Amino acid sequence: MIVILILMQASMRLDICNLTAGYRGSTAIANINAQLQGGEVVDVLGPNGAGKSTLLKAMLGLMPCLQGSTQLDGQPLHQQLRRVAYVPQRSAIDWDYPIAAWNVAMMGRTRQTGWLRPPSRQSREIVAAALDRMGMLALAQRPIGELSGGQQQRIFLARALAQEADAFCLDEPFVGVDKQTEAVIYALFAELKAAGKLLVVVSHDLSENLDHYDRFLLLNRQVIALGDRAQVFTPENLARAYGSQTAFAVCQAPCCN
Amino acid sequence: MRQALGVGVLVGILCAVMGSYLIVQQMAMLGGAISHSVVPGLSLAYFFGWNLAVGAFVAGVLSALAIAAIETRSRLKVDAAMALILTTFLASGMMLISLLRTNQIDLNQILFGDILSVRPADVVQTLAITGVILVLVKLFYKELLFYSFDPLGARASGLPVNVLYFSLICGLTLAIVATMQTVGVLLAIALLVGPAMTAYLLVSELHQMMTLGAVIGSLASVSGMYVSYYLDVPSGPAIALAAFCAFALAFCFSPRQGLLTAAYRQARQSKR
Repeated sequence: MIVILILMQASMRLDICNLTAGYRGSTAIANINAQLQGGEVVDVLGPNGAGKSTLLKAMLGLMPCLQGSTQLDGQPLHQQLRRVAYVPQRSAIDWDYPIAAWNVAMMGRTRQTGWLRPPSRQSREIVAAALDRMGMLALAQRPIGELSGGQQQRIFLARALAQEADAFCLDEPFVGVDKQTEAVIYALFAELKAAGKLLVVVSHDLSENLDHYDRFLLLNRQVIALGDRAQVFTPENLARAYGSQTAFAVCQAPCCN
Repeated sequence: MRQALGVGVLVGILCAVMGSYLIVQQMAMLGGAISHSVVPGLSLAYFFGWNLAVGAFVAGVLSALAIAAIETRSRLKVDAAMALILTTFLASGMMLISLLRTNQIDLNQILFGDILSVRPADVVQTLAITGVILVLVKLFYKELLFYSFDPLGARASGLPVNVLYFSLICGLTLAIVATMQTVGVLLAIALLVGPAMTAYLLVSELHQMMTLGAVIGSLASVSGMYVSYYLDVPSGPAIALAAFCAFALAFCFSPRQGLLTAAYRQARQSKR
């Protein structure tokens, strides 16, 4: 039984090979190499401007890649985007858009439904279940702009869940959310991980709880380190990513001990 | 008069639907840029004897593509790109009109419109454009909703966002071409944004915004037309001002977001 579980979890692989991306000639990230797999939660972290969001966008083909590729189970990721759910940064959304929370979550079913068709009853059930899982079903008819930051984030996570994806790319999901939502998100991480999904999470700063992640990808325009906590959070790595001052401060923090 | 009435109602509906996309995408001035940019197309079409609407459509779409090219291929922002392209297209339109001696086109009518001069053929053309656009919006509503709300998310889910954007541009330009005769290119944007903005203040879903906007837009063009007829003033300005009156009413008295409703609510609360 355990063997089967391990085999199942090992079945999904995301390979980032030599990925280089940027806008108009300038490179934001260069030569990123990483092998990620199903059943792990990976924290992408680094200083401001390190290219964390850029890495997610480049992986998903949301911006021009200068070289390299991202493969999911050996096939280019951009050809199987249905298998990936993406939650953009809060700042990418116009929260005054006239739309109810339910319809936002329903967008997770757009591709599965297909062109020229109304969403099936099954799709509506999946969306209702996803909203319920995030504790948002009761507020689903509210306009998205009338919800709190944490509630809005949970609606977007419900949308990602409704997509029934294998991999999840979350861009700073903890920005502007309350403690309750934070707990809901961490519980979701554990649940998805147990189901063999891959989570790639860009995090805002080092003060977040690191216990919820399996591996860390420390980034500053290139990969500084990729591995577990002990491998990544060394004074040398942090100095290379953040500069020596910050690294010192971070290593005094309890999370590092 | 009956034809003018028909065209007025149709462009009111059409503009509110396409205008709603402009408002929610925060691209209202794109409507202004495209509508001014149709002028060179009109001149060339007249010179070569083509259908004026076709010439206007091609020029309008080209201007939108030029704006998108400047925005994506440089560090410049979209408002700067619109300002430059709008004036460039309008200027070349003026040049072409004088060089090709196509000034038989009544420039005044192009700029300000004359709803009372529509012919039966114009009604048919407007009806066809409105019908096609309403059907397409209905068919691709869920994809366009996703794209206009969250372009990055839509792209990440594999939707062809460039095709969706181009379709929106084409629909918008068609709406402008249809509106041109009624309110003129200078004021087409009034009918595009006014009713949609008014509805935005009153409802909380995109499709409601389109429906209510269509009612407001039709009322604005019909009432503007009557004012234009009885006071003998140009129809374009009359319709644009009617659209503004509707907006001003909603701005002050909207149940949820109105200026005066909020003040009234505050006054009542402080009395208690």
